[in-house]
Amino acid sequence: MFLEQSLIDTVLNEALKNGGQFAEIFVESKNQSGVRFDNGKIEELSNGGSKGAGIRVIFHSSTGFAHTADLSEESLIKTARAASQIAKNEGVIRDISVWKNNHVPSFAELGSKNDHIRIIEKTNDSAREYGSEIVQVSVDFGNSMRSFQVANSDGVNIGEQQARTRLSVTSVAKGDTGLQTGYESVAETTGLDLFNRMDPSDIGRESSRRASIKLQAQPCPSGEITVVLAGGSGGILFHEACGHGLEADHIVKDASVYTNKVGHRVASSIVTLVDNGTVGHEWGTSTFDDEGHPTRENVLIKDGELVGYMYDFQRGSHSNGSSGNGRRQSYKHLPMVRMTNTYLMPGDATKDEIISDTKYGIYVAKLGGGSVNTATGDFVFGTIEAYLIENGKITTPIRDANLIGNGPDILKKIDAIADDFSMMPGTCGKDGQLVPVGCGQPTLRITSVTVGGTVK
Amino acid sequence: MGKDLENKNFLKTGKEQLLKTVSDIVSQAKEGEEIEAYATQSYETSIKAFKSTIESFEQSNSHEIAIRVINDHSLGFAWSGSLEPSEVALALKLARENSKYSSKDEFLRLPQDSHSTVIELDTFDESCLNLDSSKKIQLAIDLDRRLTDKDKRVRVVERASYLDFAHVVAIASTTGIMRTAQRTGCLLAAYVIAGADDDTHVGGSVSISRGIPGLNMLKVVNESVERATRLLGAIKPPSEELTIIFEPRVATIFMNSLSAPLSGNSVYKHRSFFENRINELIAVKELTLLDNPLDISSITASEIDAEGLVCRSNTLIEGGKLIQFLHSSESALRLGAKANGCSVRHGLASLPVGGSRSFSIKQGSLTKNDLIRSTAKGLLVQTISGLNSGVNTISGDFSVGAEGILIENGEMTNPVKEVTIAGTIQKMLHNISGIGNDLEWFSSGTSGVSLRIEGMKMSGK
Repeated sequence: MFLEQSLIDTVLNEALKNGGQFAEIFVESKNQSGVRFDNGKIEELSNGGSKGAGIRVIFHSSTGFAHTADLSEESLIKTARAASQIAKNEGVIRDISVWKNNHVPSFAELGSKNDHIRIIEKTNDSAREYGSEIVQVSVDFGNSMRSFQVANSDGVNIGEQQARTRLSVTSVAKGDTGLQTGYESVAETTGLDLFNRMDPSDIGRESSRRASIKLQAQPCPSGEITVVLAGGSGGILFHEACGHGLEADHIVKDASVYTNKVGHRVASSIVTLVDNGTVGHEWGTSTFDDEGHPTRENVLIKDGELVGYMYDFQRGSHSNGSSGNGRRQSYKHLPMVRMTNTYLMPGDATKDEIISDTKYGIYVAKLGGGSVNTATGDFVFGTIEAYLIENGKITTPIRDANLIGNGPDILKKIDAIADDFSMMPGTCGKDGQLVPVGCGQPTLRITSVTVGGTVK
Repeated sequence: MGKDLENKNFLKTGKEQLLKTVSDIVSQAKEGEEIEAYATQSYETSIKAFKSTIESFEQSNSHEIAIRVINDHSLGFAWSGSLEPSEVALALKLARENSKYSSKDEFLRLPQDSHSTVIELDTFDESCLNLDSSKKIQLAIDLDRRLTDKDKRVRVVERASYLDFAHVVAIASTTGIMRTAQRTGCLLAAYVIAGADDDTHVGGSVSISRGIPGLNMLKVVNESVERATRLLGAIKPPSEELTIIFEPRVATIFMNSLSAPLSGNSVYKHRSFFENRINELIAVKELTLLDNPLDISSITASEIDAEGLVCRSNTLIEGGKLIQFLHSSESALRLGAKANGCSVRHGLASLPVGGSRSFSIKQGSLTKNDLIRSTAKGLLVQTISGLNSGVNTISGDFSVGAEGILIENGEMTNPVKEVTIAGTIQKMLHNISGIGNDLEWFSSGTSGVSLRIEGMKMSGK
């Protein structure tokens, strides 16, 4: 599907005919396959495909963008003209020529429908067999191959293939207290080899265990409470509450709490926060970002001190360049600064030490989704599995509730970090665009978070 | 920049072309095979302004197709982001292949056309498509300037944008469905930041309309600036139980969370706390909830649902009593209920399910001020956040972040931030103690009124 060098040159030259400092074409093809098992049967088997190209032109601080699903030369030229409307006939017309395409293929095996069905049935069986209280199970399996090529007027011309595989389970348990839900998922930037390392039965059981436990759950307390986040359970909190505020598009608009804070102490001295698009098969991993820049490790906060932001091409052009964080949902979207895999580094304590050292609090075994107001750092997160901690011991399970707080404030209230660590996949939404991300963190304690339960 | 001539072509040919595409697909059905083709075309212009210049100008024209095939009681599904003949052929092939693997189910069949008369709605206004691009840009820049000039306490205008769209859909099936619908819309949206450091607050507002004349820039400017500035000096109050008043915009978000538990698909899968509750009181007697896609005040108004069935006004809750669910043809069949034209698709890659299109609460008689004045201890809620994680539509647990203004003895006092409000949806419906007369339609296509609910738990300090 990749475009010939000569066609790219033609299109980029057309895009800059009205002037402008930069033009780019992003060509993408994506094929996905899904199976949904629900209500005891294979309810849905689906395939989906899309391909097309998005063209952008940057004229001073303005961006023109248009896209097309038709990859013919005529259509691409028309799309380039639409994007170039933003420019106003000034500047020197350049003769653009891109480099030879540097293409990173994926060798991942995505498997057949029968393979997918076997995985999903195994998951469903284990979730159903967990106990008679499990009244409903739904399992979603999906994998995709995304190929893209990005070329721009600076000569960049790269391509990449990304295979992604995901399995998620929702279990519903029924008891005297009504219906309760459990959830578990696994997702990696890879093919079916994911299940060589991971048994789908474990995913199913874990989901049903969560639903089942919640039948005994007590209403959640409310007010400011000490919270211990289990390792890998809540990295999303740091993604949302801190990561977004470190994206340079918010910084340049003075719309982040972290504007002008490089070199300042922004977290307790045991906190080091990293964004890294190169980590193994994690959900946010890729070789290049969607602007053709290699992904890399970016240390954002080191020992409590803010050391840097994340940049895409446009925001990085005024400082040290892109940090490999320019991402987009598809060819229909403009790239912007996005996280890849964001995680908090492990510390020296052990998980047991942290819990036994907590007199009263909440142990969050699994955090749910959430959202943040990047201008203020205020966040809200739900819990999927949580317990009371009483006198240094994990005791009663508690019902779902939201945690609310302020990101910058929470970072200063982390007083213990364990030596364990794990990552989990997530989907990050920003300005209407969804991209896969990884989040990770060791077990850690936050001295106080407002918990939105219903009892004192 | 001039008018995009392609818009004109789009208007003239969009419907016919789409109908031809879907009927061509359906005509390829083999004996005993059921096929449904659903195709859309969307045209969109999106402009963002920042500091009196254009930040971005985006134009898109996209097509999508989704095909359902049922062979011998097995369903296959495929979709594509292109209407190129080769892509459409591939989607049909994949949908057929998929139907070979899925479970057999006697309830799997496409809906029959009921031959109800389609009431043609006036949902297409060409004014936004005909407007010159430079004028659209001017609208975004004007909005940015007015927001900047409105109040010195506004530190950053993070968003000032204009967007318009035209959307055409065509559906055909081997069971006799062959319908199209089209609609336009345009909107102005703003998001501003007021204050600094620990006392930073944001406010946003959207004006949405079928066409340019209905856009209300003044409202967007005033509301977004007011929402950000009235929170300045907000405190984090102690936790307590109190009365809340949802502003119409927030009430509509709360009512939308009923779409999942009211969906027939959730009910037959035992994922709804409304299961087996038809004809029971599930809310206070004052509450009547409609889903009426034929009301063109709703931006999502439509003559047809996502399976091509004719839409109608459905009363879901009347006088607090649960009357019916929102049905897809499948959920109606499984539950032995009458189909009521409530299919929606949550994106191209999703099969149609029962869902709300244009929720509307029957207005009460009280003004927002009446509600405030008769509240002894309460919170006027301006924003809620964390709905994805905080509202469990299966268990009914409700716990969200909130900002707003405290009410003491009928007077608004301190603004508050960083609190959560919690309860269960089931109890909240029974604890409604006041319904406003200030009905307003929102960009979600649903309307809201001020809504007062007793006995909520607010968590703060």
